Amino acid sequence: MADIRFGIVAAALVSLPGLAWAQAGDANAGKAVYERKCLLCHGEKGDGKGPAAELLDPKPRDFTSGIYKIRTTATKAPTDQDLFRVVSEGMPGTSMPAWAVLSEKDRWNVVAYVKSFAADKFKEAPKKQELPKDVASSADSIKRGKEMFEAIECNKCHGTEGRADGPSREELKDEWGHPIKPANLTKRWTFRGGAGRTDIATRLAAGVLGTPMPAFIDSVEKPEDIWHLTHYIQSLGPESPGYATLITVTAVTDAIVDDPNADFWKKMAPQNVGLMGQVIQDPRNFNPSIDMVAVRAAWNDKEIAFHLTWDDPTESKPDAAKKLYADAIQLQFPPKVDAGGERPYFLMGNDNDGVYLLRWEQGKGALEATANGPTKINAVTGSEASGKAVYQNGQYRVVIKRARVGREDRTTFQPGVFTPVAFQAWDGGAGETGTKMSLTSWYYLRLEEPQSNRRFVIPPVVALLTLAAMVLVVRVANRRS
Amino acid sequence: MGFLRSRFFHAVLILALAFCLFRFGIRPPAPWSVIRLYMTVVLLATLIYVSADSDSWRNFVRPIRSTLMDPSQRALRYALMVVIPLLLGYYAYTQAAARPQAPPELRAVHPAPPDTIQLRGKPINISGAENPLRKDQASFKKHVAAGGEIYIRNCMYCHGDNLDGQGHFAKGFNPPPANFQDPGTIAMLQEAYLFWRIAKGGPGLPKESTPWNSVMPAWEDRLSEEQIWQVIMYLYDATGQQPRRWETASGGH
Repeated sequence: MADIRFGIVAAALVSLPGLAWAQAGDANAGKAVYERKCLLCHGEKGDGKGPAAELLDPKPRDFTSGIYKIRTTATKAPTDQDLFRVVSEGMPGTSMPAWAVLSEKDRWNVVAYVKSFAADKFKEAPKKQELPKDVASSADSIKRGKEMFEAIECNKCHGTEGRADGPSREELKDEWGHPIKPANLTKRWTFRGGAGRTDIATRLAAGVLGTPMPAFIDSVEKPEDIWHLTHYIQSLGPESPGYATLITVTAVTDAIVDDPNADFWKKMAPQNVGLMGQVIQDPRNFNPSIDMVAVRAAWNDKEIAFHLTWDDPTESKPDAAKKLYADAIQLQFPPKVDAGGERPYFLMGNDNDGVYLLRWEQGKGALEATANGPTKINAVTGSEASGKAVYQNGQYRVVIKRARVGREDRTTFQPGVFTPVAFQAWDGGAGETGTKMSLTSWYYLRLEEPQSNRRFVIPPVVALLTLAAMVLVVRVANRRS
Repeated sequence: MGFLRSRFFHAVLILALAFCLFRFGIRPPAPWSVIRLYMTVVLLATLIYVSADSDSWRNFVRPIRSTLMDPSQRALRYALMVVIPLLLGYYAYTQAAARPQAPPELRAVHPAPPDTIQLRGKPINISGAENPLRKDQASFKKHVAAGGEIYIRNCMYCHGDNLDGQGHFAKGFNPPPANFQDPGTIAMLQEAYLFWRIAKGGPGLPKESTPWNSVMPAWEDRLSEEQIWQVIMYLYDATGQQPRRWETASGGH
């Protein structure tokens, strides 16, 4: 009976414009969905203490608090539509997936059930966060956004260039006292509430509840600054990582430049590779610090060089007592490139089958090494690798260079050959060392062959031959008649 | 509207319709190699149709002949002589300038399982084995719940909360993590097969399945025999799939 009454009231509310915040989800039906799909992370009682919780970072939401990060309201509670969106689209950069596989009805029901864990927080009608009048993006707008970024001290947490490396990052805590990382503004695809313009502007205006990110609608100089800030944030990085599937090594005729900041490297497009946590060998790394490396590479007759760029919020000061280790990165190759495609085990080889490494380590620089598993790395004596590294505003840029032809069992790089390559990285400042790393499985690397003129010669020849054939056909046809 | 009766127009229409049907009418989209094959068949059939009798054939070649010879069609003739070579030249350019792609990795997706495996020194039958936990109907829920916990703490990172292979580590790996919702995975395998794959992981794969590429850990290092059977029960329960049964050796009927 009560249910029916609730349904009628809810239906009436939905039909009234302006009161659409109360959608007619059925909390009882939502409970069944919740217990099948949400409970393992968010817990039976909705307190975010499901069996998976301790391994996750960020932690699953505690629904009993009624505090939600993503909302389009100026009041504390989100709208039902806000919750529905998070259920449907997930939270990028966290373990919360998009539940679009559930029917819309199931999702609304789950929203109703989730709200019931903190029903008193949803008593008042939420007030929409109004956004200032829209401003189109332009160079001036971005410039103004940058000024505001510094004026309201976004850089204190998010860093000068937005790479989550601001001086306050160490002290940041969420509502529950857990350490929390600021967003890396150069990686929009990990924005929890979406990467769209309006999404970013709304987060800036209304803040992210339960985190140190405040609402800025009243702290900016003029309301439109919200849009200028949005445009500046959008200018900090690409919309999506566009992960590469094949690493191309560009052919050059001149010398390869060592300086990672040189124009030589800036002119090349980055090839982004996603890195994942190592969870096979103990200790495991469920929440890796480094999630992507941008690869540029060049070769000439004598040498080959790799330019690696990755975000790391701190340049570590190794100190084992404080669990701080050296930052490091490496490229992994099979010692011999086998035409049959057989390779050593992707996780740095094993006892029978080792891998060859081009490694850069803080304090040691670039070096050649071999490995028979992640804990058995041996520097090659008489290493011929050289390199340079710079650390700037939360980002490493490293060049590792070596002779193209390797001696003995050091990989030789041949143009036109698909050479297997894998990547591993450590953020020592986040306590990563040994098996605690980020990695990839095997990718392919290919040394681009020097630009041939084929693509300029063949098409005109084809066109001329076609024309000749057509003329011939017309002639023959006319002669016959 | 004389052209509507033209055989040449019929032929063009048939080819265009067939192409649209193959290109847009098939879901999921058919690969180009298949479309090319189908179009060849349709082209042959169309040629047979237009050449069914000599009247029809003459009707078909009339517009072609007139384009080639008729003085009044000279403009069209010259236009075609410009356009067609240019089109083919452009096609040749796209082919010559194509960027190389990573070579495809051919691998056996479901290699034949061994008859028995050693799990921490204990031999376990794979061939013909059933999930021993299913005998105890009363504990079904308990086992599935335990399997869910094992899954979310170990498997979810790659295979995803929704068991669809879209976990947050999935993007870094090739081959991608198995999608258990796909009817081509656990639904066509016996539970004992899953036991083998979970216990031995990537390193336990035979050569034809590229063991050096699979990032699937050998879970015998972390999970007990019972835990592996439990997580298998969870996989089937959570996806609503049924395990494939072993074909009985006796046959009987």
